[in-house]
Amino acid sequence: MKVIDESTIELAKTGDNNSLSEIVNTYSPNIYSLSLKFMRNKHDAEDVLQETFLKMLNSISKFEGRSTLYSWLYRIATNTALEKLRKKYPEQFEIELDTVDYHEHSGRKSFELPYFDEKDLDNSDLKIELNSAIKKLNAKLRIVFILRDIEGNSVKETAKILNLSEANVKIRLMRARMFLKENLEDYYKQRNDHAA
Amino acid sequence: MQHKHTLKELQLICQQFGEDIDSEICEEVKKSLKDCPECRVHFDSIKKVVNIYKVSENEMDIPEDVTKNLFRSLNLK
Repeated sequence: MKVIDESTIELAKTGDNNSLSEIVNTYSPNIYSLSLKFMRNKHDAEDVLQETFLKMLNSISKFEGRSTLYSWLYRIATNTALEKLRKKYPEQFEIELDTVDYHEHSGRKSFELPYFDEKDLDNSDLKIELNSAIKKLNAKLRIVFILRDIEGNSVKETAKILNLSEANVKIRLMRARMFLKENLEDYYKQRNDHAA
Repeated sequence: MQHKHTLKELQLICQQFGEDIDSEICEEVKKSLKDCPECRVHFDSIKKVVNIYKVSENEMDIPEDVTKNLFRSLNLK
């Protein structure tokens, strides 16, 4: 990804349209892709994208350069997505997810999943299943899973972006991984049962 | 009983690490679980799930109309 130079940022802070357009052109593809991962539908992802850049226009004059411009936008987009998800699924945000119940999964026997590679994704059933499971995942857990496991942010960075403690990031991450694992196990169990 | 205890420990360890599932430290944990085949299945499955999502959640291109709408909403050209 191209990096916006400091002189362009300084001009953008004065309201220069060409510089602002350059920033939007450079970073909108990544911000859209990130928003889509959080929101799971194109309409909501587009809303997050527009709101993120509107917030940028309104506050770029206060941007102090303590992080890169992209990190700043990334954080705005994440928090905008979080606000939207909180409004859309308030019941998911009421659930307590930051304490661990070790009996939660204890009655469940692990099922040996096959090794996957990229070619397995040509199987549209598997793709649909993966998408459906991550859609069903509680939004608070989904955001952590995407930031940590998909986007590759560290636990510390994820905690900072979401204003959570590192311990809570780890608990949410574990819950998200368990949920997705159990969904995929169920999918393969059903497939095996049908084949038998 | 013994198995549940080990599985609980495994979850606790991975939660404490919050590590990449294929990190060195998680590999060490996995090796140390040689006496618990089900724990290894559990650990491998989590690793497989994270890896398949990493591949499936690839970067999506931004559609042209989304870019047009964005510039229009921001009054930019």
